[in-house]
Amino acid sequence: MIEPAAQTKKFQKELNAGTSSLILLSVMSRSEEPLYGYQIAKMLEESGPGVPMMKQGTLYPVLRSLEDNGLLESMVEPSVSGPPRRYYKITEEGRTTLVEWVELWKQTKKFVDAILKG
Amino acid sequence: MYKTIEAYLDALKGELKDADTALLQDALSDAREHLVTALEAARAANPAVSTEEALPSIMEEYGSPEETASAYKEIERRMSPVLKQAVKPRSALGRFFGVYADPRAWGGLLYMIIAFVTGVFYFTWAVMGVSLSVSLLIFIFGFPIALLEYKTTASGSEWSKKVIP
Repeated sequence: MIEPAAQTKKFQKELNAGTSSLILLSVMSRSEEPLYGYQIAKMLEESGPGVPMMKQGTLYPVLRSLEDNGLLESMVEPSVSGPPRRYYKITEEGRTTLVEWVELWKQTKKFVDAILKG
Repeated sequence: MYKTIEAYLDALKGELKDADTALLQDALSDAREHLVTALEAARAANPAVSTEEALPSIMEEYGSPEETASAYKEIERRMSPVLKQAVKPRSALGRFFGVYADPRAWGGLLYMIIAFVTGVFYFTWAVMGVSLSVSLLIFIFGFPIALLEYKTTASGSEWSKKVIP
């Protein structure tokens, strides 16, 4: 038996697992410049204060998996101070995939809303 | 809470001790990059703030080592079930003799035997053809031989390219 609060946290985690790829790909598609992880995290923070429980540390593995799938590309650049930074940029394949994902998200959202309304 | 970035990274390393080395390196370099950059940003915004004061909220936003480690493991689990299977822990003896049970090793050996035979054939054909056509080029019938040599070598290499992708 899991506590109700833990249940909610688990559900939030599962939701995040599905949506974080879409969110990150969308953020990357809006940027002309390559971005590094901290910038992306800041942009997310600014665009929506209500991103609950999505820790910044969980964004990085998602970025890496998007890169492994060819939707993003990255390059490591030395920074003036501190460790080198990995800059991410969306690929052409990423842009076409995003269009499909957005469509899928709209359908899912409509379906879930319809079910919840009863 | 962790007092320094290094302490956080050590904790993260501990959480990922069973994970793949590449995954661990990715997680550590991402965390280091983020925490250092966030700390710099915090200092730039408020030069009076000390590392000890700034770090707790930065780490809170980044997530605990457990949370971060589980996010990496989760992605790894979804990404490559096939790759994970290949690195089963084995005993020292098992690692040494394990190659005999690996079908890929036998496949590789068979490939090398075939490559040896075809390699010898290609080499003989090329050396014989080139020397024959070069030496016979002073005669008119040296030209068709040179052409034949060129055509067979070219189509031979085309064929190998198709067989070995």
